[in-house]
Amino acid sequence: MVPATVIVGSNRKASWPRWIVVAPLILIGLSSVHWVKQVFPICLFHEVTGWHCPGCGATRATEALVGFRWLEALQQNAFWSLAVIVGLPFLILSAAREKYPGVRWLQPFRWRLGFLWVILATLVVFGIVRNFPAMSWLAPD
Amino acid sequence: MKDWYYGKSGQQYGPIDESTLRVRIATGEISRSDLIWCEGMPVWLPLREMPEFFEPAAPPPIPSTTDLPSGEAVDSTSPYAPPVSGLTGNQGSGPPLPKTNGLAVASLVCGILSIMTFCFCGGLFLGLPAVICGHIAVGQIKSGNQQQDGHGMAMAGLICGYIGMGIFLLMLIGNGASYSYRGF
Repeated sequence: MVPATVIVGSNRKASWPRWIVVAPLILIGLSSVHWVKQVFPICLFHEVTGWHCPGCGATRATEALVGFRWLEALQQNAFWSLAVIVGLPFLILSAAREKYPGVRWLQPFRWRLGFLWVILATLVVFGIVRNFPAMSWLAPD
Repeated sequence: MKDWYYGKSGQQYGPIDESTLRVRIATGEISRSDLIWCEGMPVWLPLREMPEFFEPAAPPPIPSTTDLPSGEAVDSTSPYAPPVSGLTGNQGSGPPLPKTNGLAVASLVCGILSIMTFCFCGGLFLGLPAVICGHIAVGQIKSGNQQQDGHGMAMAGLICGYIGMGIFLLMLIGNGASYSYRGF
């Protein structure tokens, strides 16, 4: 008799649950944000041009997110913070929807490839707009 | 009568006859971006490239109930769209439905991430995979062994990857030129 835990997904056998590897990695990653921030050099792109790229402030935003300081995170990099707060749960739920197609409350969480285009367009617009003086509330400190 | 097939969000439906096809187009069950195929066509074509099916000059005749197989009866006085029946999954007929090239998707994902993280070496470590995947994907789509979607996606990934790598390289050069080694 095959233990139920051995069968993952359709008919593939997983010798171990993947979250045993993934979860500690995520925890280490999150807890090292502060350290990473010390080690990485200042952004030369920002130093030379004075512009904020679309990813500018993402490290500071992640640091704020780890401390549950939502507003500070949104202020540092709204795109990245929303991606983590809204996009990540959506991705997880849509993965769950693929795995358990029968669950009714998961039905709205359907991943579509078209979202990639929306993300790209938003990223480009965000990267441009946050450099306007009038939109400086989108720029990090 | 020719058997028609159509593809909607990655799923293949059919075979259905032409009048059923026209009914489904009229009710909006098949939209202009959905793919249509019948025997004799080399590849799947989006409906919008087959004007004979929706041009107002030649409105599809309202099929009388006698033309329809049982279960497809349409009450033309009813304000509601007829029920869509006979939806069946892939029955292995016709060429395979075009799928979006996986490498094109990977390329765009890496490209998006690379233009977000180029100050973090992401320009190189994500831009390079974006460019490589993008080139392979474009090659695979153009080679045409299989009808595949995703050319635009691969191109977007390529461009993002090149931008990410370009800015990263400019930063490296600027770093070397204006400072003593400061990182990276």
